[in-house]
Amino acid sequence: MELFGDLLRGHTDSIILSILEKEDSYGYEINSTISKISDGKMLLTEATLYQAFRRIEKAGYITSYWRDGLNQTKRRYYSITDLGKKVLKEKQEEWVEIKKIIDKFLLKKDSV
Amino acid sequence: MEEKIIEYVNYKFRFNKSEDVEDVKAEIIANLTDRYYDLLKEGKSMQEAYVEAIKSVGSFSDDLSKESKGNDFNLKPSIADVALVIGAVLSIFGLFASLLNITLGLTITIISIVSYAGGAYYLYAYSQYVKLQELDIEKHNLNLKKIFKYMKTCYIFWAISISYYVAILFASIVYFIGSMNALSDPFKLYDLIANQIAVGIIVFIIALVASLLFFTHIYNRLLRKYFELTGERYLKGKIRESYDFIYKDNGVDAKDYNAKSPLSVYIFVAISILLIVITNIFVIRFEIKETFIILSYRRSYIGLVLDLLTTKTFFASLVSLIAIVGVFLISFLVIFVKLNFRWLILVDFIWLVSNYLIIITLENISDAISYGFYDVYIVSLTLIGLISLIVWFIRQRKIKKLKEQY
Repeated sequence: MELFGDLLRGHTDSIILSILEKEDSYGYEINSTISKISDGKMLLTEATLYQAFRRIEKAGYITSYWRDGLNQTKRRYYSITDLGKKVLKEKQEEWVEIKKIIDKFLLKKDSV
Repeated sequence: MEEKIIEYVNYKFRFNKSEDVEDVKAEIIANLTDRYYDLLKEGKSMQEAYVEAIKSVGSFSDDLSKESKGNDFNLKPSIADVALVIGAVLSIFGLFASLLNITLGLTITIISIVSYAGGAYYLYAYSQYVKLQELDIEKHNLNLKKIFKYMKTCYIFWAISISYYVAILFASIVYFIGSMNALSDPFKLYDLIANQIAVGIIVFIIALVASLLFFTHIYNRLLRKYFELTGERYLKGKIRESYDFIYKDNGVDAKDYNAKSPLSVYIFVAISILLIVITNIFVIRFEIKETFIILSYRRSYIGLVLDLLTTKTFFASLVSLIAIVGVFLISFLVIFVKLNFRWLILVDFIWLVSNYLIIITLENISDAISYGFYDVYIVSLTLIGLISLIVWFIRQRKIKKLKEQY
């Protein structure tokens, strides 16, 4: 997390959406998935995660519902909406474009 | 242990008055409890797992500002807090007292150091106790934070005081050695006093740079230790805190203290100050040989400046003096306010130009040239350029390394 800083933080929303695209999930599970996929390099704090959830829920990309969890606690599950799926698709296309451009600058690749 | 987590989350959100705060808390408690059980499965002890889980909460920007206002007073003030404040105040008093009376100043400085160290140790021990026995990480962090509050102020004043004592010590040694054969000759005595002042100033600067480097080193190590203990990277001293309180709306301007390690800048400043003092002494000594102001033997820089001030080259020497003050001032700013070091280079050059002014106002320029004291200028100019280049090179490499990390 420290290493990547702002660069990854800008993509938190898209990362969460991509995880929710497969199945509904809750905060800790999502964070664990992020950590696992990034080989432990990206671990969000509760605060970052929570604020990201509120942001994209407000935008209408996800909805949430409560369900009883394992350790006698309630869990808030999130699920992606159709709008969220559409936005995720846009983000994916956008990323392909950005990646091409940044590659050209940083890696001096002329064609990818 | 779950109750502890619930307690912690309740504590963390005690200032949050929003409608959905219960939902927020429930969600975070669930996440933390999951993390806690996962950490237990990994083989962590209950306490370790609790502390690790709590560390992952981070800061919520909504309630951070509300929280920070009450931060200092969440804990009952203890005698250790008072010891820290006394240490800080005495560090300032010590410096001024030593200008009047060395023994008094030294005593006050020592009391200041002892007081601060005692207070800091107590707070550290107490924070460990709080962490292990009461499992309250927030209280633990607050206690540790207090230690850093007046630390920079203390370090700066201790460094100045200590350098002052060392300078006085060296100056008296010079006087002691010189006085053996100088007392009979008034000219020599005058020179001796001038030399004493010059040695005092040089030793003071060297000691100041050395002690500041030493204290910076300690401070950075403590900061790293603080980060390891609390996981918090952001820390403000009292002065910065007050500054933010006055000039920032919400006071949430966290500065990444790990980003700066301008050792090259410190070295650059130290070398350039030395260079300025030494070249000045040499330059003026060359001048002395060639001008009518001083008689046949060599004088020290301060002695000459004292003479120049009473002659027609008053203006030139004044410019030179102002330039030197400027160099010190800018060096100070570069070290403490993280001013760009290019300003220092600029002032170095101003200083060089001001010395040219001295030469121009002196009468026998042609002699000066033929005796080659322009060499000194060329050498010092080259050195300044060289050092600047080295610093620039080091910085470029650092930036390149940073870029590679991304």
